[in-house]
Amino acid sequence: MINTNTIGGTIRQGFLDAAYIWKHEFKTIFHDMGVMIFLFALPLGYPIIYGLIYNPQVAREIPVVVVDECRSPMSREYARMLDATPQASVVSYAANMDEAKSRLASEEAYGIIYLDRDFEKNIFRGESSHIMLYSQMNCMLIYKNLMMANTDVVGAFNSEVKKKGLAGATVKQESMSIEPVKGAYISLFNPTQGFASFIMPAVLVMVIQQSLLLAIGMLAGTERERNRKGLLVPLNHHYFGTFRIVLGKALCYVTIAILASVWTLIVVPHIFKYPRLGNTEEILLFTLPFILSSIFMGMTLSCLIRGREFPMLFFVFLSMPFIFMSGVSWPWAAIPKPWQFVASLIPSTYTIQGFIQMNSCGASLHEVEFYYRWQWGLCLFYFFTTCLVYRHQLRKTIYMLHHPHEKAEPNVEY
Amino acid sequence: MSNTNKGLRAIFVRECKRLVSRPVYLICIIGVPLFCAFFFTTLMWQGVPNDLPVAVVDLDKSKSSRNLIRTLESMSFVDVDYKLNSYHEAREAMQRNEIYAFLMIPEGFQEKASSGKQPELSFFTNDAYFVAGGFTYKALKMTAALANGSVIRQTMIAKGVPQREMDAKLQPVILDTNPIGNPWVNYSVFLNNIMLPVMIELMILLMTVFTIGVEIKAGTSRRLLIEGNRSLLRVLLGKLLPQTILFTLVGWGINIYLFGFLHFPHANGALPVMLAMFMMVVSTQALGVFFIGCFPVLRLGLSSASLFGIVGFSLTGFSFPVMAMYKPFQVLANFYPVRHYFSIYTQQALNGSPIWYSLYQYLTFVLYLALPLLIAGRLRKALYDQKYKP
Repeated sequence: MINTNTIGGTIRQGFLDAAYIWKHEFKTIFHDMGVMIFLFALPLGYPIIYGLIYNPQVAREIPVVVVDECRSPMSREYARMLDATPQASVVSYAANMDEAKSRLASEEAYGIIYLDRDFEKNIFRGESSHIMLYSQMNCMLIYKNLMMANTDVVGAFNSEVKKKGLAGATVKQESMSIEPVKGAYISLFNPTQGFASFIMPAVLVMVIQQSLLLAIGMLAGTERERNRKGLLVPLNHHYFGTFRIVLGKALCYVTIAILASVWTLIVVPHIFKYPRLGNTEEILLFTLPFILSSIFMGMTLSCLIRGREFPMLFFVFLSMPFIFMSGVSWPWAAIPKPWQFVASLIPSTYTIQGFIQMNSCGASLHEVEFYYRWQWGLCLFYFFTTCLVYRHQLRKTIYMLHHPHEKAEPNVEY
Repeated sequence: MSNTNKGLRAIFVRECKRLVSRPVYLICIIGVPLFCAFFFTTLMWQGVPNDLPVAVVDLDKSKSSRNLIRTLESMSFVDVDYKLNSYHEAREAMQRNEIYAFLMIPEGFQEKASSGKQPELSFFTNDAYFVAGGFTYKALKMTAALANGSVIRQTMIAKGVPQREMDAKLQPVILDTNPIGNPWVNYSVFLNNIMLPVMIELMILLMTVFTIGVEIKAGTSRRLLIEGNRSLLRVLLGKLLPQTILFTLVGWGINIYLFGFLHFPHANGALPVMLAMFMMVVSTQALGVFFIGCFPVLRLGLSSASLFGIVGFSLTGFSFPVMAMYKPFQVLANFYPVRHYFSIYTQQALNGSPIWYSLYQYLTFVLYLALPLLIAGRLRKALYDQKYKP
């Protein structure tokens, strides 16, 4: 028996208890199918499911219908050129706009190209001709692609027309008078503009955080349900110390979460061939404070969970607000300040940004230093809140110990 | 007959009491959807992003390059936050996530432009962020076009081309884009109209499974079945009707908030969409009953419902189009009631198509009502046995 009257003895006993709790938590997890699904099956399977959904990366050959009222070689040429782009495909011609709109209504096409009667005549007369693009607006990617395809074709068309007006010019002269200032567009990161390469880094980080939130919440809910008095901290002398509880439990979750992170953040991008410009060791180091702060946030929130199945009701939907808070889709710079503040308290936010910077943009740890430091700060913050809530729970348990006939906490009502 | 109604009414009243006395129900049915409506509409309040940070690397430092920077600064999408000295600095700023794009003006730009030597401007965007990459690209491209236009215009003035012919010579063919129903290309319109219904669908699935599964867990389901004269239909109607009413009201509230207060487009009025909302609520409840019937264990029922529900955000196809996905996902997408809502919303609120084009989608909602029949026996037995498995 260790003498716990000395500081050294208390610390030693504390570590032994933490180790006991660590082991006990492991046992609980491996005997609980529900928790195992969240901790293992979810991070293992979800990245694959999402990876497969977005694996085509780009939307090609979006069906469009052409209304050609001009019926001239030039208007036909335009439709042919549009059909030849990778983004769009001319699926049919319609006699008028009404017919074209009905194709949209029956979902045979997603866009309409309208060429008016004077399309060719105007060009020959040296007047501007207009091409109308009507795009369905239920999916931004469809609009973006139809825009790009038509912008490209109009550009090519315009240079053709302009060249014809420069009879006898040399190639060099032609290009000079059409485009006196050249523009080179370079997509520096995610150059193929793949949808999966853009969204998946965020999804992968989110999967880790949500898996921890759900699993830790379920463990706490189950503990409370099993405990006769609805207590979170069991009546067991190993548990009589806030630090040893927090340390023991967190150590157990970290062990599992690191495994999940290696799979999710390193192996999965490799399998699906997403951009991986970052340094693997640095990425793992970067995710360490994220894992810890997710765990401590989970442990803090888990005190609110009173039933085994409750985390699914409260945590699952949060993935969507969390993803949007990260600024991967709607740009961070356009997020209102109050929401930016809330977002900065969620571990996933800056981790997603940092992970994208490292993995997709090849940033080193040094360049994402701000995120990294912030994440350690969050980690400390949530460690502190976890200690506070567990101290409170421990006090309740000790109170029950001394007042065994006291009425139990009101149990969960369904 | 009166006996039948009595059982149904008793269960209905019992369920209503549960809904108001336990916070979990009201949080999930009313709190979550309303919070999300508030969150997403305030998050994307701008609609079209303003002032995205970009940088300029001006190696020329001439009058022309300063003009060019002023042109870029005048674009509403971007904000020229940084003036940097080299490509390296700019790339590092991009890697630190400080800028979404940068423009490089080479040395001797002005001299080359004025002597017809075709200087080259370089534009760099970060497409790891789709929306920001897209908008900054647009701003940079417009800047380049304007730069070209002004040089060509000056040449034409020198050559004595008449003013009225200039535009046509600059751009013989002009592309006019008409984004149907969303002429501002507003992101909030595009996302909230569909993301919030998907969120409602997720919560309906979870709550339907929860409200039935929890009776099995608490050991009250047998009594409930007896109270409903051993009729599964009566039990389900009585238990789910209060939620049907609440979810429909929440859904309509969100419809009215988007169409009425935020003035989101609704070409054929709000009614076709609101009808779809009501039908979606009922058919999603039927789907939820199907889930708990397949897995009559609260945890498994909820796990499968949340697995299915959360993937709905992808399979509805508002971010990545369903037609570009692999075949099995295209098939799976049709099983989501909200996918049919999406189609109705597209045709009725955006495209303004005649209502009969959506008839098929409305009818699909009705098909879901057959789903509970497939598992009725299994669910009835589970309710009677009321064995709770953790």
